[in-house]
Amino acid sequence: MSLLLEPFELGFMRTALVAALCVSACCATVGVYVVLRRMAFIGDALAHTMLPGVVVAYLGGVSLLLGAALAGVGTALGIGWLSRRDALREDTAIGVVFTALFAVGVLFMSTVRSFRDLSSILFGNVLGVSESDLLAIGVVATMAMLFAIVFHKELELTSFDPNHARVIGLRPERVRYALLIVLSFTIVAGVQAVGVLLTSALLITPAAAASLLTDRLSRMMLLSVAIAGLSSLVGLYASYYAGVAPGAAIVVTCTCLFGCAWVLRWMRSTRVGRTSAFPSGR
Amino acid sequence: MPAARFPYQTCATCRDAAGGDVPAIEIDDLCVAYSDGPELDAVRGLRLRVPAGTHVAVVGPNGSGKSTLLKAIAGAIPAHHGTILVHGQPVAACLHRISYLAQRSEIDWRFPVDVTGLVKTGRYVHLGWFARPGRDDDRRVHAALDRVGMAALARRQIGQLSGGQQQRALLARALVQDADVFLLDEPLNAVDGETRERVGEVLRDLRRAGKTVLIATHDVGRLEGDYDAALFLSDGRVVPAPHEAFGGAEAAMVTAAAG
Repeated sequence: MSLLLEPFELGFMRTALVAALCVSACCATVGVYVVLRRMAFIGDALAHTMLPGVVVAYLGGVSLLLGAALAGVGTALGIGWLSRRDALREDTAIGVVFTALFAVGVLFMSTVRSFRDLSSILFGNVLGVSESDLLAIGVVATMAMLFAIVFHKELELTSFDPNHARVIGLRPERVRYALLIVLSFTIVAGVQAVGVLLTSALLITPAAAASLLTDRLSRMMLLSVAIAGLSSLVGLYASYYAGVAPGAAIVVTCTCLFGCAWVLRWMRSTRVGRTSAFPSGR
Repeated sequence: MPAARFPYQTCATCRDAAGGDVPAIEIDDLCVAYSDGPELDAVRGLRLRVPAGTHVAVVGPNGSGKSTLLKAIAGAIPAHHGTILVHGQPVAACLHRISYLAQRSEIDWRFPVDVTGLVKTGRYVHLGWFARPGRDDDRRVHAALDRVGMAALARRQIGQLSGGQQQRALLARALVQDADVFLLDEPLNAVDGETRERVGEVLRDLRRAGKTVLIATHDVGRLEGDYDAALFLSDGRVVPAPHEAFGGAEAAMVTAAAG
């Protein structure tokens, strides 16, 4: 028991835990829609395009979170604009925009002598989250969860039947833009915890694992949040006791849980296959 | 029924505006096409007048413009040219009077929602932003599922249904919208006998209730007897009936002409 509690006697570990849990909760919730709407690529792209925003903010001495948020929202709107009316296919537009912005970010980075602060952007630094960062993460997490709850029925309908949404006057493009903006902020929070390079894992992997285990949307969200939260906890223990990078430890734990979900599903499908010729409707 | 407090699209006048003589659908010189796609499935200069309470079959081969016509009336795609009036109002003015049943292929059937959830989305037009479906909505959903013979499958995920069952779930959703005009896109395409029967029953119900129905099909053989008139489309234009199944009497009910 003391082994479990010991790490969190330290103030920075407590802050890290709260931050990681907040990030897990909002990433995992929004991530369910990202997975169901096949937006995994755009999620990854948004995380990468934070880089120039962050570097510019660092050079200008303003809040890194603000820089990241602006870059993210800008990318979301830019991709939507480039792929409007099908001038370019969306995945092509994403490919062009995100690599360009990431390259610009790296260019800026190479003008900075010390990489130490910026490496935490690439790999995350959940152990170094300040109080103001924690506040920002808390606000983002609350906002993202509220968005998912309040607009649940619109998000759901535009995900599986955008045509019906359109004929009842609910414009699916607007819902999509709103989701992209919330996604940008969520990713900003995720970058704090696991960094630019691994944030999409926190978005996709828990949601994907949950989607293997249930075909109810609400259950999928709860499971996804539980999986991400558990990964954060285990990841922090690993970093405390084994001295490994916490961001990477969180993502690796997440992936292990995804593997468990895969095995569970496989076991369930073989059992159902043996007992009845038809899959149960439940 | 109380109106939505925060409707997706406001409509001020429609319920009371419909007078006795106003046709359910009035289309003049309509041109519609997808902005980028091939010219296939476009509508070119179409005129149509459908009196309230009539059932009209829209017949034509694939790509003849049937779906495009129904989508334009439903407001899913904008008209390039011409006017569409539904009960005397422009298309976007009163969306909740129209119930549109899309082709099955336009829905993501793998999405984690059950049959009840799918049918419930038919109530959203009356709920608008923020409101949640209530007891009255549940009751209507249940009644509609009963009507199409899907009550036993209410909790099943939509991807685990057969094609005919999916079609009946969509029909139930069209019913709970409580609309006056029904636009049904190929509801009889590749479905089982029970579904055909149920769709037939629902159509008879709708006729008794005085609802207007436009039903797209390429299956001309099964039309006889069930409809007041048929509109034959080819390449986006209205063409004369290709065989003698439909006499001159029906043509009087629906007046249509190539523009």
